[in-house]
Amino acid sequence: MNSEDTILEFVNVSKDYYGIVGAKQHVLQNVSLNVNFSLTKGKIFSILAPFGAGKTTLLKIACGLEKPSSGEVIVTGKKCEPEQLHGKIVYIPEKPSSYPWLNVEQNIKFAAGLKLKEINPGQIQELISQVGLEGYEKHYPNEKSLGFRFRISLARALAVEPQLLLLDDPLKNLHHQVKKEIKQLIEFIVNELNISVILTTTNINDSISIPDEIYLMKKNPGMIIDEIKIDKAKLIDKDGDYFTLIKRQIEKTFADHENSTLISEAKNLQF
Amino acid sequence: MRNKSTSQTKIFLFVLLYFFLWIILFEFIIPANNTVPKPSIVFLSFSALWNDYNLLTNSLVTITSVYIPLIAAYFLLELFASLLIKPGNFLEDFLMSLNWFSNYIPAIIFGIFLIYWFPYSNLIEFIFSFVFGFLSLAILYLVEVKHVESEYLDSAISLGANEGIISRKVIWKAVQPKLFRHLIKLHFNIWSVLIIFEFIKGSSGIGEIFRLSLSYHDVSALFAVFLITGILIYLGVHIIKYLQNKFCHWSFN
Repeated sequence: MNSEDTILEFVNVSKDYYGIVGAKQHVLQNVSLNVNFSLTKGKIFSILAPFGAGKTTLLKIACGLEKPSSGEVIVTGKKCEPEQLHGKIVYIPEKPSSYPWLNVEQNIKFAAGLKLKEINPGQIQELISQVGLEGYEKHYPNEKSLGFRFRISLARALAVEPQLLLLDDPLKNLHHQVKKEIKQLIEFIVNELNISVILTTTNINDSISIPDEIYLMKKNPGMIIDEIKIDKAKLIDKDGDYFTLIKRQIEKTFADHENSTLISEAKNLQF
Repeated sequence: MRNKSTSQTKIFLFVLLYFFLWIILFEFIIPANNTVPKPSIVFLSFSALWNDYNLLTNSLVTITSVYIPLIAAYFLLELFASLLIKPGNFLEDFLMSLNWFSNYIPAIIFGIFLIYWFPYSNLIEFIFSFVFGFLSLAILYLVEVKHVESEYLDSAISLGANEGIISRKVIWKAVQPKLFRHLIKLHFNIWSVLIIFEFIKGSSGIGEIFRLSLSYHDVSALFAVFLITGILIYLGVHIIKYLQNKFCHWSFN
């Protein structure tokens, strides 16, 4: 793989959380990401992991919100300090993060203003229609659905023209139809805007249905244990043979690593 | 929302009921006495309040002593909010230590203390309201900053916002509704402290009217000024609520 095609690399990245217990300092959780993964441009990656494996920590390290305890984060071939990643790799948290005191348009302007370049009304309108919020420009996010608020966060992230988008469990708690629309929106961002996306999930079905590649992560310590490439042409529906095959492969990998617990839409699988 | 407005209507109806009961009982049924005056005499005493007790000047003194320092304290806090939350600054520890004192010593004690410390100062009411208002708002701000949703902060940092923008456009806005709610409580406290302050000190203000009417045994004037004070505080609350609705509309669920 050409290094120019690589957008993000983790080189032996690990993160330890310390806590004081008694007189000694203990490692309470070792999110030993210990990964040497390389993500290529213009693709969707999903990270499938059980609760508490360190998915959010991994994303926060990738966008510079947290410093790794060791290892290097390399973006487009250059080693980056956390501060250098802000605005380039944008993180959208699991909980709604659009600002309730700003309407849809103002939320986007807030982000665009951070780029220190003028954004004209036409560009704002384009972003609004790209995320499907046309006609809601003056609406405020409070009391709106999770899907609505996620779309605002997405439009705001697109306003800073990032190289990579990190979506923390974006499909959680969404209605089936909204989930479908958000998946299409993510595919649009990758295919039409050429922005790479990493999303995390605890749901096997979600982890298979969107990405080009799936990374499986186990907990205690958090670690990437496998990487599965998806052939989207073969991925017809949830009950198709290819889908079932991938699902079984994932289940087997987790079963080999025992203590993980994943939520499946089909059945509550316990590994 | 509907329940809230229904209960407010009920309270308002109860207040009206007390008012009519007072009129019916003390105007028409119970004979004139020195304890509760006849409503007609209370209404007649408004003109006496205006002329003899200098109602306009005294009301203006108290109103300005309550609201101007509060407005100044609010804007000063907005100006210095980003400094207060800078990591490792001593102001936070200093303000939180004052918060510790306020748990055990009510503000009125400081108010009375100031009367005897600066008996001839005309500005002491302003200074007291301003200092009390600023400290109370700043302490609340420091407490509430710790409860700002982490997703708002993470998003702003990840989008590339600097400390100043995060402080002004994210943290301040997130805490603002709580500051407004606190302003309502704070304004009640300052009103009561200042009236007691003026009553003891004998300086200009509504407290002075209370003191004079008590010293003249003028019960009707006392009732009238009590009614006026209630109306002024009621209007103050509504003005703050109007501003809260205008600037923090998203916080009304």
